[in-house]
Amino acid sequence: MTRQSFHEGLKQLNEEILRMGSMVVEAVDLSTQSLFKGDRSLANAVIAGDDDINELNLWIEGKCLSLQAQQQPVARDLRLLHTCLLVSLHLERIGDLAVNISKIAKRLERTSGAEPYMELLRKMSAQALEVLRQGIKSFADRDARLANSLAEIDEPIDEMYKEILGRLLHPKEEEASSAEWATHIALASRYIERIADQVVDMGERIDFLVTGHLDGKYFDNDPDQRFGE
Amino acid sequence: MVTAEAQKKVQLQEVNFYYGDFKALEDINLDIEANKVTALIGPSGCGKSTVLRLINRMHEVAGRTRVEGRVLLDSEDVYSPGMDVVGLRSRVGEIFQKPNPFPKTIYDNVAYGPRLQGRSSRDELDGIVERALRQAALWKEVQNKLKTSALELSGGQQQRLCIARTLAVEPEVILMDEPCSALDPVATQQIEDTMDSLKKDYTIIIVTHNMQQAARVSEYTGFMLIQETGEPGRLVEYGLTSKIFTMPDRKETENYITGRFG
Repeated sequence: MTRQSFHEGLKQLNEEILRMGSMVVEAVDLSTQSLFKGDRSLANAVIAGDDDINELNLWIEGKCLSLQAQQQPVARDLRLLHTCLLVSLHLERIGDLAVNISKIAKRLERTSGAEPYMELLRKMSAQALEVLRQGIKSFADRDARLANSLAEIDEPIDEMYKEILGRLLHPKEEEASSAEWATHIALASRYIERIADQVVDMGERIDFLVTGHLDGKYFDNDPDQRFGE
Repeated sequence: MVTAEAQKKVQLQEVNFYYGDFKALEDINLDIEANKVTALIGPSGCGKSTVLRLINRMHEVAGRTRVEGRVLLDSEDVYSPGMDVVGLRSRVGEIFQKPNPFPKTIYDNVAYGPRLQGRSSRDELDGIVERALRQAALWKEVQNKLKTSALELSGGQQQRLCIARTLAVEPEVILMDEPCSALDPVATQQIEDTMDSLKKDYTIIIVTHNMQQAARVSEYTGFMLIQETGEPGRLVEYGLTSKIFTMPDRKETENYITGRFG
C-alpha cells in the first residue's frame, strides 16, 4: 500500500463516519417519531436498520486496525484513526439507544393524561437531535469550539429528564400512573438523555482530533511516559 | 531551577556552521537532556549528521569548516581554546552507519581504547571488556570466542561490538549516526533494545532516516529541514517525541512525518 492509497483510505474512513452519522440521525429521528405517533412500522424500520449501522461500525473498526497495522500513522493521521474508532463506537451505541426507544414505542399504550409527558419528551428529543447534528457537524468541520459547546446544548436535556422523573414519582391526580406505563416513559426519557450524553463524549474525542488535547490537557506532560506505554 | 539546568548534558546555542563558504546550519538552539535518547530526523542533507559532528568536533577532520555560536558539554564550551579534543572524543563517543570493527580480535577491538588510555593490566582490561560487551548486549554471544576475529561476526553483532568499543572508554554521550541502516530487522531490534538499556548511564543522540525508529527509541525528537537547495539546515521543531508524533506544532513537521512532504 503506498502513501497515496493510505491517504485515500483516510478519506474514505472520514466519509464513512459521516455516512454513519446520517444513518444514526435518521434512526434517532424515526424512533422518537414512532414513540410520539405510536407508529409500529416506523419502530420496526429503525430496529431493522440497526444492522446496517452495526455493520458499518465493524467496517470502520477493521479499517482503522488495518491502517494502523500497515501504515504506522502519526500526528493528524494517528489522531484521525483514533478518533474515528471512538466516534464510530459512540454512534453505534446511539443507534442501539434508538432501537431501545423504538421497542418502547411498540409497547407504550396511549393513555389519557400522558400529554404533558409527551410534550416534554418531544422537547427532549428535538434537543437531543440538535446535539447529535451539531456533534457530527463538529467532526465534519473539525470544529473544536463547537465540539466543546455540546455539553452546554445538552444541559436542558438533563433538566427535562429530571423533570420527567420527578413528575413520575409524584404524579398529579389527572395523570396516568400505572407502573408499567411510568416505567416506559422513564426509560424512554433515559434513552434520549443517554443519546445526548454519548454525543457530548464524542465531542471530547473531536476536540482531541483537532487540538491534541485529552481531557483539557496534553497527555504527554510526563517526559518519562512514552506514548503507547 | 538548578536541577533542570543540571540535566542539560549538551547545549547548542545560536549555532551557525559553514563548510568553506557554504552555510550548512543556521541558528541551531538545542538542549539535550542527560540520560535520555534524543532523535534527530529530517530529509537528506538537512544537517542532522553535521549537528552530531559538531558535538565531538569530528567535522574538523573534513577540513575548512567554521563554527559560530556555542556548543556546550556540561556547560563547558567544546570549542574553547583549552579543550583537549582527544579527551572530548572519549567523552563523546560515536557509532557510525556501517559497523567498522578493526581487523583484530573481538577482545582487542574492545580493549583498544582503554589501552590507548594507558590501561594495560590484564585483569583490568578483562573487566572492562566484559562490562562493555555486557552493556552492549553482546557478551552472551561472544564470551567463548573473544580471541576470534571481529570480522567473523554478523553485521548486527559487529555494530554491537562497535558500541562495546565505544563504551569501553566510558563516554558520557554516545552519538549514533544511522546505526541500524545497514542492519536487518532483528539486529535493528537488538540495537534499539541496547539503546534503551544504555540510557540510564549515558546520554544518547541518534540521527535516523527511519521515523518509526525515532518514535520507538527516543524521548525527545528534533526535526530539521532545509527550505530550499543551497539554504542552511534549520531546527524546525524540537520537543517530546510523544508530542511530535501525535500533535506536532509546525506544519512542516506534520507534512514530513505523515509523508506529505514535497
